[in-house]
Amino acid sequence: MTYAGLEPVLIFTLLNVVMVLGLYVTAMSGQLSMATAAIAGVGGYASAVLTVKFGWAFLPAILMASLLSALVGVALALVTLKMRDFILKLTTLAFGEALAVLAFNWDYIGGANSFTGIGLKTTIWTCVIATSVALYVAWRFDGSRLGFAARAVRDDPIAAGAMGVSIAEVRGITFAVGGAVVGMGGAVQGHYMLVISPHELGFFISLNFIIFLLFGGLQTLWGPLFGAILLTALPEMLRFTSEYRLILYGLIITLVVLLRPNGMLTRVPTGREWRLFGYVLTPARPIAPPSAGVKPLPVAATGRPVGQAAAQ
Amino acid sequence: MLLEVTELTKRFGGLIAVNAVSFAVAEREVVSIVGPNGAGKTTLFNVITGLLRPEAGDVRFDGRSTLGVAPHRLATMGMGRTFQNIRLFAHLNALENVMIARTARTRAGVLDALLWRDRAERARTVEQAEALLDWVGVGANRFRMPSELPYGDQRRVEIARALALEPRLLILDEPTAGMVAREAHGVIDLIGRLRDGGMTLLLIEHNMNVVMAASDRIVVINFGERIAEGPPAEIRADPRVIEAYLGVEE
Repeated sequence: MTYAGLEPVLIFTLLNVVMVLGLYVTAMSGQLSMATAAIAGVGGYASAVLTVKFGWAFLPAILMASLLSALVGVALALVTLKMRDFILKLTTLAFGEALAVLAFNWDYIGGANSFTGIGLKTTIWTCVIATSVALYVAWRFDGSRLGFAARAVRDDPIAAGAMGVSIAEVRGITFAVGGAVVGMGGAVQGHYMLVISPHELGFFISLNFIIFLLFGGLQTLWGPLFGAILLTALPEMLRFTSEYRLILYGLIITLVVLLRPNGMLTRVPTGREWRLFGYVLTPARPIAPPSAGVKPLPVAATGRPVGQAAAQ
Repeated sequence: MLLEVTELTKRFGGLIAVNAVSFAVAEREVVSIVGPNGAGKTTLFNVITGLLRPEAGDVRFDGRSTLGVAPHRLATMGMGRTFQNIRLFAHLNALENVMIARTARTRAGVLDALLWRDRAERARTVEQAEALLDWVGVGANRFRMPSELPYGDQRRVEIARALALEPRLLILDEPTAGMVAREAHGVIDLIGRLRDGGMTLLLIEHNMNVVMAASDRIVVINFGERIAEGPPAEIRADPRVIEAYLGVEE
């Protein structure tokens, strides 16, 4: 395959990576959003309107599109704050569909005829830069104070609350940061496709990103990255099987879900024993027994010498 | 008084789980709440920690009413707790579990993380969490996931996590529940060290050995009502307590 034939595949792979990284950050606080494509659509439409109707340059339009998507993300977080599980997912789905219906009926942005006439600004390098930005944001957030707080909320909201983590704050922030990343992806994509239609805001597009995330594993940053790259490239690699490729694609996903329900890449216990065909590759490391320390309670950790509270 | 519970009543439909219970915990005091299964201990606990709203009565922490205050605010006010069925964050290692409780005591935001301005704060948080894990005796296992650790060590991590909150009051919900004797002894020893360190403790406990050894004062509840209150020696001799809780064979 020549590079010219490969370039669209590369661009779509990179764009999918951006979207799924945004979804990864959004899902970090335990709320799996089904409105990723709708948030991307907000970014796409925003950047299209700003460049075409207001004559903005590409870069500020993308930044503004990210900001708007972040705000829409926060709105979604606020709406779903008290919800859990099934109801929550249905609500994010309905939120996305509502945005699609809005786009259908809003003539200013083209309505059902789509928004056309967007300038071609996106090259492979734009996508490389956007992916690098998305990776950087996701990576820095992943290891940050709020990133850990978000994962604590995902693991156990009640325990996280009892440890002083504000669930509302954490969920608002993950939806804002994730929304900004997804919106950036949507804006960049808009300037490559040159047309945005309301159909692209629908659930079935969002579902792709959810599959990438769950396939790769949502516990670490590398899961969604791996999932998006492999599952965008896989249909291309299976092209030789022609009409069977979608069946194979489905089969591979089903096998992964059955064999690795937490996704391909997960966090593993550090002391675990690794075996290959019955041979121990790395033996399990024993757990150290509790040591009977008699040092005073660490003062630094409690802010004041414990027990002097009464003297305050 | 650091914690004051007055005439607290909690109903579930027709069932009165907690009926006009009052008690108080002074600073640096170790108070235990005991009672047979189903006596209302856990309900009382959940009301104090803000998970349930009572029908009547008041809970004051540090002079302020806690009713309607969100659990994370109570935690930030200095109310630390552990859970009867240990609730560590399953996908975070021991060290990260403890670091979570520093969230409310630190302030780096998203922008700080993106601009690498959170490094000093992060280093301090790690140091504090490591010191606490060393103190509870599981420092060597700090990179282990909770599922790898024995039950007793999980409880130690949970206590370290609650301490990282800088609690003024530490509430332990059946800290030795489900433990083999050796593990339970380790945790009892730990409670003793907390007490010696001057930590104010509210203990909900089943195990009378723990309660008698550690408490300054014991509150006994049965069928949702307070039936006795006093120092361990007094409670041990109280005929109502013996009848309700310790059993007649004693």
